[in-house]
Amino acid sequence: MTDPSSDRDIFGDDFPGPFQRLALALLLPTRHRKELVGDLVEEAITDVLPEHGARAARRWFWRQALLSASPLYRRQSTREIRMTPWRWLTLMALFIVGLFMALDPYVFSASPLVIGLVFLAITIPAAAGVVSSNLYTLVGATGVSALLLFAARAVSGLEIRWYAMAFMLFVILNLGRLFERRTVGA
Amino acid sequence: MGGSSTLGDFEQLVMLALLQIGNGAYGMIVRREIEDRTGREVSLGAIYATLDRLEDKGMVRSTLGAAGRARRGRAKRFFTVERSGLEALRRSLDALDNMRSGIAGFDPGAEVHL
Repeated sequence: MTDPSSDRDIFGDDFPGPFQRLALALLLPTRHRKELVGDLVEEAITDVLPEHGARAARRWFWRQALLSASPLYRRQSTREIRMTPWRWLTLMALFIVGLFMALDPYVFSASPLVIGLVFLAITIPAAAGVVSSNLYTLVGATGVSALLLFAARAVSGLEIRWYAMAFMLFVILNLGRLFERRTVGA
Repeated sequence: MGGSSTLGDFEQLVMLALLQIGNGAYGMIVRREIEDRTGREVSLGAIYATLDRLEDKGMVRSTLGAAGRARRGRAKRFFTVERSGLEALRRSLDALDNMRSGIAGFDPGAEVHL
């Protein structure tokens, strides 16, 4: 038997609570998240809760949220690739260069500090390109990336061709994006 | 948009569910309609992803409703079928009927015996 008062506690007016909202924010993409969570809350409270109790309703809610994540992320990625191709081109180009870099025998003989600096120099602009389309963020990420590359160069005193190439690719692709934004007005 | 395009299998189900429901169709109701009529378990995420794609194609239109207490302040998004959506759905169903036509036991309107 389920205790109705505990049912009300679990699905109170503040459901989902702050931690649950954080978990949902991490689990589901932003687009349509509010409506989807609203639908799940409504169905959990009106349909599942009276029939199966609070525990089952809560389990049902999280199971549905988990099952919803994959199709929504698939949809979001195809939508974003179509709408902001430069962002994804940047990521792909950096991934390919990073792959080449990993295959470069020099990397394996470099010190962990140099590897760390170069890794950050490549991942910071890549992450900035994916997470944000704000020009200042991209310029800032490019600056940080350049500083890290200079630091790697200063520490090792060796050739940094792949890393320099990755950096140049990032700059060129983002100039392209900037041009696209200016001309299309996106 | 969607001048001569046809719809995928799941898109057809979602469009038909919207038509069955009529006014006041939103994610949860569409999901329930499909589950009740097909017996197929569907995630709400799949419904929203499909509706979002159909909206981008201009086949459905969405409007945001008022937020209610039962939904803890989260608004409903209502979906309605547009003319181009109706045409695409008709084309898709016609194509399926044409493909079925003449196959013993699968002819449109005929009872299927497996």
